[in-house]
Amino acid sequence: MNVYDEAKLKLAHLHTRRHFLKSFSAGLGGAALASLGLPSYALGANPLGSLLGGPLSPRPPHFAPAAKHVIFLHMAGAPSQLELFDYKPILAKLDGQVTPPSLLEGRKFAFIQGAPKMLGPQATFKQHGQSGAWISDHLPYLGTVADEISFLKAMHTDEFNHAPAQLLMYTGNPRLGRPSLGSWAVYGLGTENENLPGFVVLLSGAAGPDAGSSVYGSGFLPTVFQGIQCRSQGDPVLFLSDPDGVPRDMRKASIDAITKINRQQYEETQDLEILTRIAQYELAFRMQMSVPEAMDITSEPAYIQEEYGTAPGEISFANNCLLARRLVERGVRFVQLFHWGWDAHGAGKEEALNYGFKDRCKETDQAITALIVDLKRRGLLEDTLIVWGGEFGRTPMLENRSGQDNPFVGRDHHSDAFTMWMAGGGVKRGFSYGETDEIGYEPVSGRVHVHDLQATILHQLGFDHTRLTFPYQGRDFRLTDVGGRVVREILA
Amino acid sequence: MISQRFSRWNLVLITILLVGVAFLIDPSGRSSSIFRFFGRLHPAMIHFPIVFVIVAFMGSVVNRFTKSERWDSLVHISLFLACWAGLKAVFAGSWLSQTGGYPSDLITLHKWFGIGIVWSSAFLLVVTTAGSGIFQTRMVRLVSWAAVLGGLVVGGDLGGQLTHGRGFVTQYAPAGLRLVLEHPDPMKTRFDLSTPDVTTVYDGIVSPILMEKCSSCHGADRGKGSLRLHTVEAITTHEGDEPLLTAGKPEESLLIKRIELPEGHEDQMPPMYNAKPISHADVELLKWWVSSGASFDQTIASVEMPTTIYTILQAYGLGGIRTGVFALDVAPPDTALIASWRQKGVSVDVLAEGESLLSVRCTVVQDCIWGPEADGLAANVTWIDLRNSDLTDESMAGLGRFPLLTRVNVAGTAISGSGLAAISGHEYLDYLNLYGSMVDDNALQHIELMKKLTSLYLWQTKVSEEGIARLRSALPQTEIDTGDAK
Ligand code: HEC
Repeated sequence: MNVYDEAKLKLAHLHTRRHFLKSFSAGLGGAALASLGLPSYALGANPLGSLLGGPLSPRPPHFAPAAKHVIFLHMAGAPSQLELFDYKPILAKLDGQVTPPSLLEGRKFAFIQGAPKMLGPQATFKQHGQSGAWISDHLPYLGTVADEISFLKAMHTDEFNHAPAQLLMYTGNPRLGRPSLGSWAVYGLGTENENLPGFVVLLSGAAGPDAGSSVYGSGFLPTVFQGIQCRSQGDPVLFLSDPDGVPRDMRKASIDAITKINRQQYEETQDLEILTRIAQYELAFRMQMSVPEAMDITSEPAYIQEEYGTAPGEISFANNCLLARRLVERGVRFVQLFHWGWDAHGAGKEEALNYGFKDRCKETDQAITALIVDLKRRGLLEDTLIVWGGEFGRTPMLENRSGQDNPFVGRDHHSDAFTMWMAGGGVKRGFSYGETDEIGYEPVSGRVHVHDLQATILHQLGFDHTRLTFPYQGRDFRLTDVGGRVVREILA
Repeated sequence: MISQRFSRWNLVLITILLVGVAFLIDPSGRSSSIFRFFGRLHPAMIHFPIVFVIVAFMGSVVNRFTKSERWDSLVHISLFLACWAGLKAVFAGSWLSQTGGYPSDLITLHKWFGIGIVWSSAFLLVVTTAGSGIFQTRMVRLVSWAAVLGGLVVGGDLGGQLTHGRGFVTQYAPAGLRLVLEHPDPMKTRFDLSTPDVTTVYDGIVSPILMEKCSSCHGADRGKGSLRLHTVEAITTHEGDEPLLTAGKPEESLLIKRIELPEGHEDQMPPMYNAKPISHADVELLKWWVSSGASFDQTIASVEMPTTIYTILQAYGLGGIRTGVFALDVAPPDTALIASWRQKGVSVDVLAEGESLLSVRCTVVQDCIWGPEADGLAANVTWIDLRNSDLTDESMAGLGRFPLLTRVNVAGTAISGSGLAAISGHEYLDYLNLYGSMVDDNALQHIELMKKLTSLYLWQTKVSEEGIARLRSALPQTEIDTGDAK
């Protein structure tokens, strides 16, 4: 599809009667806005041909996949690698010393100004498993499954603020408008279970991700591929249940009628977004039955609840981990978890390595470990890729914004070096790739960029990341933009 | 109206000016801004000669059909205008190319096409105005028209590729047409990597490098330094002061050492002058060959491949190395059967684009294992997921007909174990999930036979601890998961 086709299509929109009336009522400015905001896809554009058979029907990937599902555990706010996985004894010796200017020259930090002091690891470390992975005592449970994990110790990103870094992590670009990782996956693969969304998002913690729902949005892909937020409290999916006094068969009849009209409309305008709408109405109807069942963790036996440490009826990360397993079991492709509250600057108790950070560790450690164990014994870990990490790392220096005596310890944002890990889904077990210098400030080997991580995740799902593209505004776009290298070193 | 004499002089003048463009406008030079302005009119200007050529062509077609000469003047004037308008476009194009940013091979080709078209139309004018003689023959006329019209199409396509990128025209062409129209990628043809499990590293990779970079001096025709590298024999029989190849040790192999001499060293190979330079990637590949034994019969797939080498070879078109069921030549599945299988509620996925193997999932096994679809597709199914289905030991017998099964998931079913006999002889089976099923120690006799198994799931089954121990010793390669945290 080229720009011209796209323009033609927009014109067609403007000429449809309904659109005309709508823009009339909203005034001409509204018309202009509406036409700008309307995503539209020309028919006949080659890569989309397969979507016409039903945007969610299963499609084969480029090569046989190692993983069929992904569970991405995002620790929003960016946890400190230096307190969890990247053990730096030398940093402990340097604790309290003023950072030499050579380390600060030409650097920009989000908050640190002047010459900060070095901050030693705020945790004790031990080696775990046969692989001898260093894991701190903040994560006592995770140590028991160290041999399942592949660590990426020299991750780096381009952004040092939360929202752009999260966008880069999920959409491959720090600015708004691109589709997210999960959307690309479902666009490429379709869904395995037609009664459930292909891409589910589960949030926990006091707030959502800084970059908002764009980190699980579909960007310029048809919106049917966007992440659907499910909730472990109240209605699992908002606006899903039937309105009062509308029985299910009446609902069905009305959806059928609407679908008919929508199809006519599609014939006229050829707007793929209409197909999306049709698919969504129908999916929503089927989801009315299947989602409540899938989301009901109370049906799990007590020992499972105990292993995960769930709190049924509340919003909790542990609940979401258990849900993630249930959803994957039922064929959901991509489950995205966000847990808020890792931004340990030391500017307050919740934001301190010695307080809030430890709580976050407690909130997540047991459940993540249970998730790994549970998937493994069910034989699901082999084809489910678990990814853990934040949007960037933290500095080896102490951040002390007020400059006063501060009971709270924290670190600033750091984009040059941080740790992420993967487990299952065809990656090596008990492995560590990449290394940082003695203070965890810069990678010295095995650097992995965010685009490389994305390329690797797509690779495990069976995609050549350079070929999973979508035509938009006259060119083919892809998740990894113009970068990305599959980190083969960690593949089993 | 236009005489033959006139058109001949016209051809001479056009030729001189074209030579001027071709050789006097230096593509790497910088044009002044007025020329740049003029240069940017190129895309607009090229339409004029095209229109004139088309008018001339239509004129002569009408002439032919009406067997008259009524439109001759129109043809002549149009061709005259076409060659001058074309000349202007060529000048403009040359200045435009000076502003840079275009792929140099394409632009050179495009330029020569432009020059060719202008010259051919001037020549065509001579041909059409010729009263008699050699120029009047049908053949010359036809060839000249073909040159002008064909040139316009190809030259225009090249122009399209310049502005819109390569493959612009063919992107949405039907696959068959695309194969014909698209140029083969030189990266993909340099090495022979299509059958890595058959082709040797030497034949597929090393020999092409040596032939390309060394054989001009060390080949069949010449043996500089009494060294020839064009055949296995020549390489293995070379006698020099130092060993040419030391298996496993590139640093003790003269062939590598001479390449790796510091830049500018007089013994460096290929020599600095008169030879094609060798790329870092090629050197890495040669070193890899020597360090993995400098063998002449090891296949590409059989040699351990570090990531750098894999990355290099992938750029040259190495696909995934196929092993197990993927190395087999499986007939493509019958799509009609897949469709009717899906109709019956069985989910069937093709494992990957262009792949013949299938992954199948269902909860009601009757259609999935026994139906006519299963009969027709049994040889394509490699993953089968019957989790929580109504599978029984009896119905499981049907799986015996699926010879290529690698992953079998029967978790949560009521099978007690005797049904496993059906798959115990399967050659490729490497994943068996029995978690939550009713299997007990009676199943062990069948499982013990599955020597290729890499993972076995037995959590929440009735298999006893002694049974597990027995399995562990019978299947030492298999990872057995019983769900106990170690
Ligand atoms: C332009 C011609 C030329 C090319 C191309 C060339 N060589 Fe040579 N090579 C020579 C000459 C001349 C000698 C003999 C003089 C010397 O030893 O430097 C020689 C000698 C050698 C020797 C030493 C033989 C011995 O036993 O003493 C080796 C090894 C060698 N070349 C390897 C290579 C390789 C490998 C390539 C391709 C990558 C290559 N050469 C390409 C000209 C060439």
